[in-house]
Amino acid sequence: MRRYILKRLLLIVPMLIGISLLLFVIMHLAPGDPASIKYGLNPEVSGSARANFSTMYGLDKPVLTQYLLWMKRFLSLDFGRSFIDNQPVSAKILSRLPATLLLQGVSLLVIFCIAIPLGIISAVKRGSVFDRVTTILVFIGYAMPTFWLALLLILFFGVKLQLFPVSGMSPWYAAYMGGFARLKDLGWHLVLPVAATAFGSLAALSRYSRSSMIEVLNENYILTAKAKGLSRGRVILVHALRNALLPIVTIVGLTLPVLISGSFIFETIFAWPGMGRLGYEAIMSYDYPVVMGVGVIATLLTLTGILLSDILYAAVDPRIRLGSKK
Amino acid sequence: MIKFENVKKYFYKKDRFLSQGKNVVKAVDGVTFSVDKGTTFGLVGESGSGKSTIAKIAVGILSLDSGVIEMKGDCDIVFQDPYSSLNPRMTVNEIVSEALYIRGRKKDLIDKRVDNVLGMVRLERAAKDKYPHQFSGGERQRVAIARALVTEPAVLVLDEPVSSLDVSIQAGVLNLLKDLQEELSLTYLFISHDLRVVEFMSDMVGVMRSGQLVEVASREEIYSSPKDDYTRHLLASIPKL
Repeated sequence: MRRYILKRLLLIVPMLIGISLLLFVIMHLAPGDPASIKYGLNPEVSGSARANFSTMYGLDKPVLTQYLLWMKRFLSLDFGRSFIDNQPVSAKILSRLPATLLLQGVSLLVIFCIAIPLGIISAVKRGSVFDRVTTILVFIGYAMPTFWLALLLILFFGVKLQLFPVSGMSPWYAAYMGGFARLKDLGWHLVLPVAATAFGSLAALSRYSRSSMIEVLNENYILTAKAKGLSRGRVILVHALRNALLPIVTIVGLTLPVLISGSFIFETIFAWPGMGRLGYEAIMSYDYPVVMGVGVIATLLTLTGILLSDILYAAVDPRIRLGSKK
Repeated sequence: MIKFENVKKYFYKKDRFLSQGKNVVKAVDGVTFSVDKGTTFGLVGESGSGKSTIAKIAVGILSLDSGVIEMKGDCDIVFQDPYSSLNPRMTVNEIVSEALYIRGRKKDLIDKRVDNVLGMVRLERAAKDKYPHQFSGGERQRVAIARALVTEPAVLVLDEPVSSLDVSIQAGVLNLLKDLQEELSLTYLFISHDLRVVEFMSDMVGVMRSGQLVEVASREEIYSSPKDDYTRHLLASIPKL
């Protein structure tokens, strides 16, 4: 087990190199450059000043050289400074990370708390009205473009019903609110972003858990459990559920990349002050150091998430856990 | 002792879309037989003839549509495939003891009983903390037998208990079952499609075909002078060694 984890940790290194290289090259392939964004519309900046800016940040060197220079600094944990406001990239990301983690964490929790029971009830009552209705709803949810759903949510719950705030994380007067009121307000702000973020994965996960549960319910040891004279509840909740949840654990690993890439879209739509929106703004303004920083952190978050779910899978399945000893 | 009287079990297959008609599968269609205490009733027949449905009715996993079942004492079952009939996430101890826990027995009594039963099926005590995947097929089937015996049933339904095992291991499990029958004066309902195994195990034999018993007789009669055409046909299909 320890060797396996070590091997997986080492594998993160080549993946990170590959992903960062791709990101760097794609970013430079995009038309436009930081200097023209920063000074292009300012007639008082001369061509030589723009050239100076490019030289200062090494933007006149070949892309590969620039990448190697970036890598060299990255290895000493230096992400550089933003082209826009000259703030250290690491400080910018750190200030945005909590908001993203909060949104993703709550979304993940919501996904699991709704999708798994939904899938299990569907599986146990297969073919019932409940099962068919959820199946239809889930397919609609899965097929719907979620950015569009986000806009619909804003339009309906935010504008029409005026139930939930449609943007941001806290109002300007948040500093004047009491602790509890602030928490409640934060929860209120979370509703729409979480709903939009969770929807697609929720649909997928409930299907996974339904099929996993159906598979387990057809296993012979379920028949054995019934033959022991156990109650229906015990058969389903203890014997079936424990086995059906196993493959679901790995789905967490598959959900994380979806959530993190979704954060770029949803944080922008809902003006959520997180890392995703920071990345989106950086891309739009050719802020290379910030784009790279956000890209690398998102990659690391995804890879460690997948690694954790794989380790968890091994930890909960006795066949894998003990198999290596044999 | 266990007695089936005119037991029926039909399954209805609903066609989902166009046709409104229902398909009826007469899995068990009026079956009558009885097994004396301490003896073995062998049930043979091709797959789909309703043998396993009878097994499930006997232990109460399936309800019956009509007819009467009389039984003295409890009844438990050993399934065909020991690779899938044991929950892979439970230890042998959990698998064997669970039926006692839900009956509210005390912990130390349960421990004693589990040790006792594992001894009966000749598994060492270290087996308690292992998981099913750590055993061979024959050992797993002995765990399944221990699991069934733990509640001290009077009747044991053996649904193809050796057909997924290697021939070399089959004999060991069959001999164990015979020894246990003698020790505990168990009544067996032994289901198999393997006529040689049934001949080895049974006192009485019933031949099933599409939900009905076409012939019931003692082992000697069935194997020396079968009366029904279908029985003769089955016997003729035994591969000669």
